[in-house]
Amino acid sequence: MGSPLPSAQRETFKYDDSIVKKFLIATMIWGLVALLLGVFIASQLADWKLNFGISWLTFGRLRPLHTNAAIFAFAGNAIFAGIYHSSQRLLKTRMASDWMSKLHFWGWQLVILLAAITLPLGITQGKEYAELEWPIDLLITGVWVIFAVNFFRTLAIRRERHIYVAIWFYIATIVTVALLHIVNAIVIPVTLFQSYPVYAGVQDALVQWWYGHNAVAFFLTTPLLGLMYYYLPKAIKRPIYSYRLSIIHFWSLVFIYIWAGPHHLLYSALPEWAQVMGVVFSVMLLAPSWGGMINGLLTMRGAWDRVRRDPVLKFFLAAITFYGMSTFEGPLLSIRSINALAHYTDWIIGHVHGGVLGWNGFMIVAMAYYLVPRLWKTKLYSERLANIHFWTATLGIIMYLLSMWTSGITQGLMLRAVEGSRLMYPDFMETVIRLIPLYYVRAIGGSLYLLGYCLFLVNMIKTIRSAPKNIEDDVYTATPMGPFKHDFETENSHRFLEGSANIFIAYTVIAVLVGSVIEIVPTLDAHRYIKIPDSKKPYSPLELQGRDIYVREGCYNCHSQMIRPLKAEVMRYGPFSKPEDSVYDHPFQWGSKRTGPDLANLSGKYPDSWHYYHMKDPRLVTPKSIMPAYPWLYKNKTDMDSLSKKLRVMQQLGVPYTDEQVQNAVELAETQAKGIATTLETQGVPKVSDSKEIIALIAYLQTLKPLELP
Amino acid sequence: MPNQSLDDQHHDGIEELDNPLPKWWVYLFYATIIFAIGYGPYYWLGKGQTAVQVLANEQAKTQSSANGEATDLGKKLTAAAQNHEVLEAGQVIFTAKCAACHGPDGGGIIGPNLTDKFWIHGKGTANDIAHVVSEGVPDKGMLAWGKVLSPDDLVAVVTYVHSLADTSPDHPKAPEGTPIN
Ligand code: HEC
Ligand code: HEC
Repeated sequence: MGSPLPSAQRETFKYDDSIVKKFLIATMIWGLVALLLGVFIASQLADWKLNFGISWLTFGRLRPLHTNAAIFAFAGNAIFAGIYHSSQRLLKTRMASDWMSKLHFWGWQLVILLAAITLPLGITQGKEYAELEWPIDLLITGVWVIFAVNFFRTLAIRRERHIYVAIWFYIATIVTVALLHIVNAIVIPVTLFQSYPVYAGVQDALVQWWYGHNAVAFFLTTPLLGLMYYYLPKAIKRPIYSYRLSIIHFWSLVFIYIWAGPHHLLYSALPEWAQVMGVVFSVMLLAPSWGGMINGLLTMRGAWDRVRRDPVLKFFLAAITFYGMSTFEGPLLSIRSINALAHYTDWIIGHVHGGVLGWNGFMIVAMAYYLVPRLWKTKLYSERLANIHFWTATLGIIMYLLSMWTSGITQGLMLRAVEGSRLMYPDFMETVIRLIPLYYVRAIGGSLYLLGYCLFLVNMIKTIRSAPKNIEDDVYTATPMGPFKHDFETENSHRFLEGSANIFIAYTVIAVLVGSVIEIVPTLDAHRYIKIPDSKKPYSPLELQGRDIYVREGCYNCHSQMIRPLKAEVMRYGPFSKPEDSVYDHPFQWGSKRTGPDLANLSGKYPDSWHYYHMKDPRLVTPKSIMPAYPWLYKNKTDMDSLSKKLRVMQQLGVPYTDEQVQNAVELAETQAKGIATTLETQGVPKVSDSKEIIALIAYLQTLKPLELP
Repeated sequence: MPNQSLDDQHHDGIEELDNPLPKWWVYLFYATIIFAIGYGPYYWLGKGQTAVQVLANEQAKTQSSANGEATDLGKKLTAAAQNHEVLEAGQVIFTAKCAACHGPDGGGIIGPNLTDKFWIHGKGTANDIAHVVSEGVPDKGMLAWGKVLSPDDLVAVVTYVHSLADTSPDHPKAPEGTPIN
């Protein structure tokens, strides 16, 4: 404690640990919810009856809730806990504002609660991981701004001149997530519960996957790398392996990641140049990602005997290993020929779970095992239990990954198998039936992971219960930062950046903006180079209504609408999709997974009556189907009240509806509905009511057709 | 509790070594960058083909091979009628794909009775059945199964349907179409 400065200049302060505890407890609770939902919907794919015929329990509505809960509720709260805890210590200051921290906490829980209510009700924007409707999106923006302001003010009052690598990653997270969220969420509201995005088709797809991919990058990767750089050396009590590596992998990661979004759209109608960008930047991502893995693993080098004994270190080791695995698999899946096989299959589902269960989940519990005893000033209740947690969860992940790899490769190979001039497995159901056993294995793997997580919760509860009463916060003293002096002779230029947070932030913003601007701006005026032929008509009012039902039910969680220009695919579905096909699609519904067949060329494949029976219960016409039944579409009346408003909004977005169509929307819809009801009757369907939602949905499904271009 | 002074410690006590970057990692990074620089030009200017071009080439190839393997459906049908295994295979397919509409024993539900002497399409010969099953009647709710079933399966199920003539189903649907002879 021998400071050269007189103690009068030193300041006394305490850290705000209550906010960290709040976020930790929220993490534990929402983690359980996310995992329960995951196991539940995984079981639904094994046995479709498990939705009990209840609309808000069906796969299409719950899968978005599961992904949102895992990303934003579980990982989100954990990240905030870690950021609030480590930043205060790394910056030697309490957070700038306690009430802002609290507002951030309660605001975020409100967002999660609203998500948990709205998504099962089918209130959704229909874009993956960005499903929440516009009022919630606004709330998210507000909460994020509060978080950012609080964090940056804390940065400004720090008592440590040079910011540590963990803080770099937090900065990248905060600015980039703000950018991604705001750009992707621009919509025009129709009602309080519905909106249409300003982007359509190709544009919407690009913006959405720029967002979606970088949600993985800047919500599930950079903040967790920050946590790794703080908690790993703290837990293992060893120095970080290489400062130089930190610098290089941080900047290359931040710069390169933002470009890679189009790898979600390979072989799609996205312009070829953007696809190439997606491929090359994804391949280049390998080394920057592995830089983080190496820095973690080599920090652990020499302490393997402790890793073997200490469950916390085991979780760190496994997490970092899974990180390395996922970031190897990612570039691999971006290579075109591999992507052609794996895209739309369960391989991708396996890939993302390696990341979330392995890398994020394990990092988070490692952090909690480290943090909870320290915050509550007690000892971990049981190391043995933590060890059992580790092995159960690891076995769970392995079962999950193996089953999904097998399922993905099986499905990919079967769907592309061609014999002479015909498909070997023309019936899509044949492939589905093969996968069902694997869905059981996956559900068991997920349950094991969940079981391990419950052991973790027990351990945490017991630990917290054993805490002494009246925990007093420690008191610290430190000297204020003082004016900035940089010695250009002896210090490298990155030290300069670390000393000057504002310039650091500015550089980070530039790094993520370059790729974003170059990729997105050219497609913003895509309508200039996509010539819309006269034969392309906007959806009729009834069809639009049907489309909204399609979005509401989350059909895109199982069906794609994007036929790729691949031989087997064209043989199976028909002419490949073109940018023109979805010019009026706000939002686009290309989808990302084919649990069911592609629907882009569905029009005319089946008569209306087929859809009528199929939607009522798919097993009526496709034995053994695992698609949910939608009986409520036969009871709910099609909403006609908002129709004119919807068309008006679409008109504002540039869809060529005439004013007449907008005014007569309801009449037009009713006439078309009557027509469909009559057709159904002539096809032998008894007692059809033309006012029901199923009629609108059939109208929409029968429009799905790629344009015939000369 | 005494106040702890933090002046002497940085980054909360975390130290950083400054080890050199692992060589293999640096080379890996270079390799991916070289790949990236090469890939775009190769793709746009060189030999790389877009997915659409590749597809067009493949389609041209299959077109020519398909012309060679014209199958004689009629012959196959005649041969199949004598073959017990084909009939059994046909029954399996019928139960899986057709029974939902035509009833487990062909008596008809949504689709017409396939056992009676009344036919909407054709006169109930194997060839007639093959035609309607293959082409379907999309407007009426009957699929074009030719796109879904393999040629062998099509022959099998048609043979089976043909064999149902004059059987007596449990709940025969009222006749539809015109009576034959
Ligand atoms: C759990 C995944 C899942 C969801 C959710 C789902 N489907 Fe399906 N769908 C399937 C599967 C599997 C098949 C193939 C078997 C069959 O025909 O039922 C299928 C088949 C279809 C088909 C027939 C396609 C063809 O070419 O044969 C249509 C049409 C369809 N689904 C429409 C929908 C609509 C509309 C929704 C939303 C209301 C929806 N599906 C939701 C899984 C799903
Ligand atoms: C979705 C319901 C449905 C399924 C499944 C179905 N059919 Fe049909 N089928 C029909 C309907 C409806 C008709 C009547 C068409 C008409 O009125 O022109 C029909 C007509 C026929 C006819 C002609 C009958 C006549 O009187 O001319 C044959 C033969 C036939 N189906 C065979 C099959 C076979 C074989 C399968 C299975 C591979 C099958 N169907 C599956 C609904 C179905």
